[in-house]
Amino acid sequence: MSDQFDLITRTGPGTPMGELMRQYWIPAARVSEVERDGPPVRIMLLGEKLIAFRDSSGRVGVMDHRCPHRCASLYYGRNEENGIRCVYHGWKYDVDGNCVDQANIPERQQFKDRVRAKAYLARERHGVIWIYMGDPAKAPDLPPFEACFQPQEGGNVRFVQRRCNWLQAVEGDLDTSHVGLLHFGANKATQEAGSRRDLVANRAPEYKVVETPYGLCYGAHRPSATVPGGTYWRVAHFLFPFWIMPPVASLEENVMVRAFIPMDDEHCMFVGLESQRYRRPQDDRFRVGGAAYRRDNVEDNATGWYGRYRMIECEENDYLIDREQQREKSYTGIEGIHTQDQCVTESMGGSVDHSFENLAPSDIAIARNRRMLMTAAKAFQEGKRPPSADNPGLYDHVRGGYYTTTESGDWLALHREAVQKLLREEKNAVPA
Amino acid sequence: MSDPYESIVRTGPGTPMGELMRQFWIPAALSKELEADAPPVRLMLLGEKLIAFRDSSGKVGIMDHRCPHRCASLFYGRVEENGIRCVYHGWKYDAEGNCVDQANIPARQQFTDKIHTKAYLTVERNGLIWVFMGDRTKAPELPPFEVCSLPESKIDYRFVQRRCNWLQAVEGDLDTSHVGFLHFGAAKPSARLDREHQDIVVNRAPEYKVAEVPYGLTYGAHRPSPTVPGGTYWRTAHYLFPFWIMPPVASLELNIMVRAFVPMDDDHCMFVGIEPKGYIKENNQPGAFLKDNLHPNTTDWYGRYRMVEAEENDYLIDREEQREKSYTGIQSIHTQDQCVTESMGEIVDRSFENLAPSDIAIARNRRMLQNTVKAFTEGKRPASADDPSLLTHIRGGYYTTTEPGDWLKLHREEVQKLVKQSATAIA
Repeated sequence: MSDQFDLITRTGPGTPMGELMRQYWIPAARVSEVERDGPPVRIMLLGEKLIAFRDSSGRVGVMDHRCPHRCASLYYGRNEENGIRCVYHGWKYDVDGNCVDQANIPERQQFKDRVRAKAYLARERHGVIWIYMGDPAKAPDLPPFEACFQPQEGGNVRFVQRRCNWLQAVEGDLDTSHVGLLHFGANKATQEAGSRRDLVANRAPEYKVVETPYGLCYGAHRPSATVPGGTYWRVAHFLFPFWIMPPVASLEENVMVRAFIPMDDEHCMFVGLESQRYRRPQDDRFRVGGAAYRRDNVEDNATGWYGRYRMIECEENDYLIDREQQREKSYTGIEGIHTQDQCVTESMGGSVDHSFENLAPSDIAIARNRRMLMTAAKAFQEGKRPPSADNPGLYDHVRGGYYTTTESGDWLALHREAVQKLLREEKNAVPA
Repeated sequence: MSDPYESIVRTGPGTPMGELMRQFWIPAALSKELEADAPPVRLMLLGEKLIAFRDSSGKVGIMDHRCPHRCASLFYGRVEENGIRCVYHGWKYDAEGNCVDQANIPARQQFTDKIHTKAYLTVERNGLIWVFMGDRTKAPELPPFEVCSLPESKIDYRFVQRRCNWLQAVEGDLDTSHVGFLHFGAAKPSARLDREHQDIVVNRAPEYKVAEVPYGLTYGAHRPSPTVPGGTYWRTAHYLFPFWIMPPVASLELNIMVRAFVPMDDDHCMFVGIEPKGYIKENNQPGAFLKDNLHPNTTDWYGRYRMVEAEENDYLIDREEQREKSYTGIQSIHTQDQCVTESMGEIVDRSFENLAPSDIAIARNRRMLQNTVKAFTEGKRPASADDPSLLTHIRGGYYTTTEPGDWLKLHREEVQKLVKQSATAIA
């Protein structure tokens, strides 16, 4: 569906948003997916078909899947002796894309120094292989998300493929009012306590939105049903170019960040980086009716371009909806918070027709975010880079989450103070 | 993908290369695919959707699949009583495309004489059905390839669909240096291959000679022979207008074969091999066997001669075998070729390429095709379109010689000698 939002939904090579995203490090795969001297792995990113492999000395290479000689796919190549060798004519490349052999050409005719695979910078951190698809000379530091620095035991990295445009997926996390319906619509306030009670006692919050140096921040607020005179806030961030920190847990526990990375314009990869603190307490607390948090139910990875981290629940099987359960116990009859999100977001179509929408006051963060992205993409075309592309330090100490406060004052200042206070406490709690 | 090769990769109706191809006979199907009065077969050729059927008296008809009345597909038609009848309104056509009945129209209002299906000339020879999609008054003789003079019982016809552009497929046969890698890359020089394959794996980096010829292009890849002192090992191949090739699959003596990659549409082509039975022997190299592993044909436009090994199943690659025994881990020479060629994408983005000295025949062939197509749009027809006798006594193959002299002359003399010998042998 072609519309005015093509400017921000399309991310292939040469598109404005695609080039903007290429100014940032991208989480591309789990470290464990790519084995030393093992077969290359097909990775689809920003409309480019890539392969990833780990060489004999353990380094990771990520590059266009085509051999720069005659374009046969290096996927079928031989990963051996510190490089990948194309099976067509025996040309070989190291992880940096340097051509190190042209075996079918007499030595005096070889021109290895003039041939390069289209290779991208790759780094490994937090169990994730990160790649940078822009000009290597401009590569910034890896983003300093809190979730990346928490102790890793028990921390979690999640990859789940979603079959829709990346922005459509992101927007699901800029829309907190769906939580009280899609995920907890069958829960009764009288049977809940704490923040869950705040969430379901009033399912129609109001919003504050503000643009920030790293992206956009919004807070949904409603009178607390549990703290007299208090306000229940759910605060989320969009961080350029595809990161989000939705309020899945309390501000104290919500040490996480997630992204919807475009694979192509109709597929994206959910990547969740979650600290131990985020993960553990959640599982049981949210187990209510059919709407439970649980492990992502994904198929074993296959080798195709769309073969990685596919959910078992998908459109072809109606996300395993149970209509009986839907009538009696859960709002959707679909198991798993993530699956419920996946269902509604994919059901809009591969790339939603925005002209069919009717945005409401509850969608103010989505609308503002679109406008901000349009402006940023246009500015980028005119040479103005988003600040976080060159200064990932802007992501430092950003956290989403929910909390209840009785204090009055500017909502954003209150939120930031609350985060700072938690950070100070945590710092003091860490033994020197 | 718009690129400077657009004029030679596209072959639909009205495209320059497509019109050029329509000046030549095209191998379209095996005779045995069509039974008298049996359901029609869908054929996709040069971007046109056609049906083929055999009428009650055994004649073959090939025509646009649309009924010229209201364009319903004749694929669903009734092949009966020497014609095909559209099931929509009962109009009927004979194998030449003449309308012989307009059953839904009162006799006095019929105008059968004014209606023709878009039918093409067809010829059957030795078990193969040929179609001519150009102006029927200009149809030349069938091409006189050496192998076509063999009796049907001694010919192997191979049809295999390839999911990429025809030129990309052809270029795989203008590139002999890949043989020492893709097909025999894991063979050690000490391996006990037959002598010719020994020559390939001892020196995997040949040099090249290329020449344009009246029927197309010839090239020879040469390297010092490791088996004949002072000898040179030559692998010679031909590209013959518009889609034929004679790669050096066997020795010059045995390589009495020709093959084509016939465009189905711009993203699919049909490999058609016309080969003498048993002209190459199985060898002992893992993965290098010869049988094509095909699905049964279905009736779809792309349903004929599909390989079981395909991108969806990674061509059944066995990574363990790739590590230990064969270069690719993929079974069969043809599948290995299919894999690399299809993996480039349906129409390869040639701006991504870096051609090397080993690709000189490919580069020269592209340039020749561009020039030929340009001349054709200006009214100059390729010589072999009107004079197929130019294709007589052409053979590719490999051989080792110790004689010095012009490479092309030596090659031709060698072929002449062999042609005489086989003529004597047949007589």
